[in-house]
Amino acid sequence: MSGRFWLALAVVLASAAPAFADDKADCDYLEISASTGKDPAMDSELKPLEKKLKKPPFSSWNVFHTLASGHVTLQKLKSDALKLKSGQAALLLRERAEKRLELTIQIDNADGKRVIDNKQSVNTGEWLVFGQNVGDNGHILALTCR
Amino acid sequence: MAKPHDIDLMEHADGERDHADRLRDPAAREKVEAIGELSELVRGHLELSADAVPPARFEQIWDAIDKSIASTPAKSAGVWSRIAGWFERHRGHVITGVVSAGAVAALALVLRGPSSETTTTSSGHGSPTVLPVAYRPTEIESLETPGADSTVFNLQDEDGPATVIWVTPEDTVEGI
Repeated sequence: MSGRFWLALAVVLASAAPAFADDKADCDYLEISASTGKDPAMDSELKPLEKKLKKPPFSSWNVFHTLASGHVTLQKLKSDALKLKSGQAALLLRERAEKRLELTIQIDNADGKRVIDNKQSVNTGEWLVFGQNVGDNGHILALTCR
Repeated sequence: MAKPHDIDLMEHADGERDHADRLRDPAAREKVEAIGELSELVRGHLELSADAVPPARFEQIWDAIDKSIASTPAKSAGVWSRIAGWFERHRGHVITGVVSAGAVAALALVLRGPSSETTTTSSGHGSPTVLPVAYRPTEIESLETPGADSTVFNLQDEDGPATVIWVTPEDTVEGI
């Protein structure tokens, strides 16, 4: 065969290769406690969420502290646990495209009871925020994956 | 003509309704006049009583009323009621999906994020050119919150959109 054929084949194969052959996703997460205090307070680590936490319904509280935070690299179809201070959470990357992720998120409370079992398809870089009331306070898990 | 009822006569005496046609009955006319006299007596007594109260006392009374009005909402508006109120106000029309307790994973809710996003490019002078970019909203494929209700909504600001899933235990909702 001619060299021109192999060149054309190489071009076709290169263009057909997926943009994200590694099937990974890098996720950052923040476990947050929300409460009401005399003076408003927010940890600097929560800066990326500052504007959102000042909106309803989060604005019902004015004190936000980071309970735990971390980074996890998800491998496709391999569940990863997040290290939380209160309860447990697990993430599973089911599918990914260049700018789209299909995730499964499971969250258990401090008593080990399943609170959330969620599957969603989300754009990379967007925040996912899961929250629940614990008495008058709030317990929030925020994560973003790329 | 039917005998007028006392309630009609009282309404007439108070000026709430015009029942002048029923005053042809002498007994009714007497009742209305009696009500009028009694009203004058009561009004006069109350006005005299009010005059007897020193102005400073009135100020104290109004201060107490103002304070009670101002403090009542703050006392009753706990965190729970504020949050619940927000959810209740937005449940029907914001980007919301409410899933009953233990709902089977059957919810396919497409969150209505912005239908289009814009990026701004500028050459450093003049008006920036705004280019629309296709935006694909978050899709909730399934959501289970055993023993609780959930509310799904989208928060949008300059830092970008966020999908929020808020879980409200059933047993606490009733207590609000």
